[in-house]
Amino acid sequence: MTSLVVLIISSALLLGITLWKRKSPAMLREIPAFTRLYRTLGLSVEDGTRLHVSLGSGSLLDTSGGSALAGLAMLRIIAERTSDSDKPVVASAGNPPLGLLMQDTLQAGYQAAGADELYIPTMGRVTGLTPFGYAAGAMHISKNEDVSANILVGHFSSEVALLAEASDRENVIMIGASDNLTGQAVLFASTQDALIGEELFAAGAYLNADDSHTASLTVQDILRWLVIVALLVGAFAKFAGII
Amino acid sequence: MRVLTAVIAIAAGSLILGGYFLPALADVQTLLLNWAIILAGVAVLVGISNLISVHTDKISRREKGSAYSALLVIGLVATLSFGMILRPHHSTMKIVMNGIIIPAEASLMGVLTISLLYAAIRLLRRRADLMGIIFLSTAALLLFGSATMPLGDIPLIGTLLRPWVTQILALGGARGILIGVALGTLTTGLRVLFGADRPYGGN
Amino acid sequence: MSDMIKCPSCAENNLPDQEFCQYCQTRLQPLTDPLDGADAPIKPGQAPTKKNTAELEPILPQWLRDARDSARKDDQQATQQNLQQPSQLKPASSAKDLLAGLQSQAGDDEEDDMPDWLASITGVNSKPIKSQTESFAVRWVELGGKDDFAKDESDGSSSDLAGLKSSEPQPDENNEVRDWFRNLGNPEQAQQPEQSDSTDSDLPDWLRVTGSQNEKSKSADSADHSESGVGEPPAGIISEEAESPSDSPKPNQDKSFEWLKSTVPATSSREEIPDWLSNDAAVPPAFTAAEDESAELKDAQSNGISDRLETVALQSPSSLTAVEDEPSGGISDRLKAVEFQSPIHTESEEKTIEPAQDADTLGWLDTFQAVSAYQPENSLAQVDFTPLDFAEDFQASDNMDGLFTDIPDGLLSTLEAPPSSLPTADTNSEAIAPDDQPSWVESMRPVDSDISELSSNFPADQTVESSGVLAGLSGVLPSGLGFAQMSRPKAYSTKLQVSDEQLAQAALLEQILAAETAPVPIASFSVLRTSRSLRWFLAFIVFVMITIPLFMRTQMFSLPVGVPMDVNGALQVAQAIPESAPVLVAFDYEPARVGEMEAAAAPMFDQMILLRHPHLTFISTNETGAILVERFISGPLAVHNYQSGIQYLNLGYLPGGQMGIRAFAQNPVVTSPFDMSLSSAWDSIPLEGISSLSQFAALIVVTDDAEAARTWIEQTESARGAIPFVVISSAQAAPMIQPYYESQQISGLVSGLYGGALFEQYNAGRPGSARAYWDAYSLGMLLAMALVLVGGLWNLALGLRERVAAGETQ
Repeated sequence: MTSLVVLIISSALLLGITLWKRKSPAMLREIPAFTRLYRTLGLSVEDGTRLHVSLGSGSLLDTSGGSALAGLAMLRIIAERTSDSDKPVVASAGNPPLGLLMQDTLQAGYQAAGADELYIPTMGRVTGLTPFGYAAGAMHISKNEDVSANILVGHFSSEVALLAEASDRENVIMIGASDNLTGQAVLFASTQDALIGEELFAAGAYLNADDSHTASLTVQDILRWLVIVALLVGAFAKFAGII
Repeated sequence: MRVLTAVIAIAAGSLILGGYFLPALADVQTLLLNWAIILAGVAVLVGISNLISVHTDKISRREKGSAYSALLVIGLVATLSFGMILRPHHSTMKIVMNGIIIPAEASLMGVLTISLLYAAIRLLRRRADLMGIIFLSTAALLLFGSATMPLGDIPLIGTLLRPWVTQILALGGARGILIGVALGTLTTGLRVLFGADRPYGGN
Repeated sequence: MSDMIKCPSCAENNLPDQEFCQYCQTRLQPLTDPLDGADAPIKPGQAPTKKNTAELEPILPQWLRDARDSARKDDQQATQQNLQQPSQLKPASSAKDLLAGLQSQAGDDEEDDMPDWLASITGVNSKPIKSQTESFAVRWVELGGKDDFAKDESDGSSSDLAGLKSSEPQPDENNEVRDWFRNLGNPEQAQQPEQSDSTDSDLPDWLRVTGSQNEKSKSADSADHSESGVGEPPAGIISEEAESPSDSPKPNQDKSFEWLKSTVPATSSREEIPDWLSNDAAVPPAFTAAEDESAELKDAQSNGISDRLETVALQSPSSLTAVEDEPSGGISDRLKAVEFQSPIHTESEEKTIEPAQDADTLGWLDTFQAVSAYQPENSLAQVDFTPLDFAEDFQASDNMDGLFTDIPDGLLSTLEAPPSSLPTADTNSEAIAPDDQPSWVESMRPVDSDISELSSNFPADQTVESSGVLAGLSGVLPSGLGFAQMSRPKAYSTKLQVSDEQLAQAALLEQILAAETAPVPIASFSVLRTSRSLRWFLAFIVFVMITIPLFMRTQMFSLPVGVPMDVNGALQVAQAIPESAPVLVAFDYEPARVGEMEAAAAPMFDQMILLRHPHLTFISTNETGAILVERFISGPLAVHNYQSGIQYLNLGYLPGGQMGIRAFAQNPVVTSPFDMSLSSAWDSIPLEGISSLSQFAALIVVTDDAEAARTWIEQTESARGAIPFVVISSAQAAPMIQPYYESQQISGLVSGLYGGALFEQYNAGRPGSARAYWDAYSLGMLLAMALVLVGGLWNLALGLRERVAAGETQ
């Protein structure tokens, strides 16, 4: 029942705030990784290089599906924003169903930008079926595809260090975000700007996707405060022997 | 077509979600989940075909590293053929597993060890701030506490400090992060459920 | 105020209708009507109009026609000579070391964005130059200012101009000086060698008269100069040169030589030409262009410049006196004195020419200064106004037509006078009008330079000199019409002589232009460069430190002591399983971590099999899990000889992840009906009588992922009932699984090699894999800790040092 209440509240907040955000744009705090990402998009277009968006090996059928969906949303935005680039975005994934959606998202992004011809099916790749196999296949993209930046958004574990290593060797900018704690720790140590925690899900709002992304950030903040209050109240109740 | 896909996606998601709360929808939820499991299995084949098409395309265009692509395609086809013909528990498949897959992945794990060491050493040059120092100090502490000395556990660090850090400090922070991730996952899923995000081809 | 006229002499403002200055009585209005149409004076920024003067060529004197023919013939040859001496003939516009880059930078700028003085420097089209201090309402009379003519050596503008003299063209300028000297001196020398018997006789009579008349001419009315038609606006000349160096000579030549052309028919006598030409035309501009005086004079001495030539240069009476008093060896001093009348010289040079800089300096010589020192505040604009620009462009034969235009009346009278006779003072004073000379002299200068090159082919006179400084020498004087070249041009220093103030101004100008054109730095993200050597070092030392204990099978490090609660729970589950009870085992780890996971799981399975002989059923949500099961059975558990389908069963891969686990927990028979051999799994011995998850004796999850463990825990919670649940995890996943043990959702937890080693101690050291790895593990951990600490501190110091250095740089 608790989960149902949370779900209903979240849905109502999301819908209401989405409509409200259309009239009142939100002010977002500065996150260096997104500033870097925003600049990287422009740089790749200007210098005619390619962006590599990697969605990790998260499955759409488990809890890592949230990060996979966030990665797909970012891929859609990036594909649309870089549709005027000489070289289209190359995307990789380590999960076959995610690979299918990845190709579909790429195509939809180019269609939205009016550049259908830019879509090449092989630009969306499933590079491996295991996390390390996927990393081994994706780490060569930055070396052989004239990539200027690796954008990793999705479910990554410690294998993300291999991708960071490849980016470092090729002096390629790397922006990483993972829903996995191990992956976040590795990204924190390996990259200049790592997205920690729920910052992964803020990419759409920072890239000006639409109002729903901004509204979802507001909903997350509200729910976070509710969780904080619940934790404090529960701890106090436990300490007081009420529960 | 886009409307149809959106309707199907939203309906399927709503039914599966409703199955968690409404017993009447449990059977529908199970049915849809079984379909999803089958589709996921088929998607593996699609993913494999994508892998083959990407690398055959590189071979045909004689791109840089096309020799490795050829090796990959040959190995993939051979392994798939042996597995389907001989079954996975056959000794040949064990040889393939023990002689190729496991050593290759273990080697990657070894490389990962060096990469993580390298990243940790260079961390303070990249970000010489308090968080970097705390991060590195914690890592060094856990490394030291995980080992033993010739005379036994490292006193205080291995027996008390390391468990306290991993199970209290690190775990508390990890829980907070995971709660944030869960909230993000929740709102992302709701956006997909409402059709605001359509990673299935719709605009 | 808009119609006020500023007097060129006293700089006072006058009413526009005044013909003469009310303060100094200087003529303000030119006697001639304003030129308009095709004859209008060329204004700054205006492209010169090419004039066809070929029809006038028949009326040219024979010597000039010969010179023109020679010029045409030798034009290509001269070009080749220029190519052979690129350093000497480098275009002046590209030879300004100090202001190098101004031209290119200015070329990119819009005209409106550039101040006038800057436009003049860079050579782009600019607006008419105006003084900043001058009122816009004041209109300058294009006669040249009085102050300009009487430039004082201490005048800042003069020094500025001297400093701005281009370095590269100096050899050419000096060439012009010499050629010019030679061309002036040789005609009479060749035709009347007997006149050089003594020092006095070196001076032609007309020159003496000219010298005596110079004092008179200094006080002559400037209106006379304007009447001569030479009143080319200095500003216009300078601006034209600055704006289009390649085209600028044309208007100058056209304007300057039209009068000459018109007067030449009256003086067709060939013998008369050298007098006026040597006297008036060539000397001043050459001196204006000369720079390195001492070297020049030495060169002149060595080349045997005639005495008469030297005296031509000396227009000052005092200088003439010095010439008369000095022996032949004093030629250089006199030449210095004349050359230094130009404002373009250094202070050190001024000290050597004090006699020539007296107040009685000839007025006509002052006009040369006026030309060069015009527009003091715009002195930088004269950078492009270099003799080389004239010389190069004047090589075009068409430009020779302009030679015969605008000969001043005073000069015409000089031409008409017999060279052997002394010209009258009046005639000479009219001929050498101070205000007239700057423009036409400036225009004549390229002629000399050009002709000197043309005349280099003339044979030298082999006559032996009988008197004078050249007594006894032969062939030192040219025989051909006074244009023979005596020696090759001498290379001079290309150093630009500028004062500190000019340097500062030029530096400021460069800074301004650089600031305009320099890209604005954008804050960029720093990228730490990779270090392959560090990687190789780490790989080497880790490989060595880990493989040595492994191969030597050392047991220096003791195994961990004590049994944590979570491990103890797993130990109790392993010991509490009923005999031959069915146990479900989920294998969810990657092949990359097979070493750690097998070492962690083997002790518990070994103990279970050893004590209770359970029937094991394996399933995996990982694609490679099924094969890893086979490896585990045939590897660490090989001693138990478990047979598939009898003691254990491999259900293989369970697709769907979390959903698959949930479905399996709800109905395992439907979800995974077959085993790896495609046989009916639930009819086999290990699963005999089992149809649900709760019928298993225990559930063991072997995983390297906390998410997988959490999924199994959560999704099977309702289906598994109260059966024991043990998680064997990798070390990295253990902290996230630990809370499930704390909350008693799982019965036990064995994490990593550490947990395996603990479990192994309670299993009589079986199977021994944890012990085999433990030394390498502990050594590797300590090594990693040391590397992280030392390397981290070292990189911290490096990073701080780099930041400090970067801060100092900024």
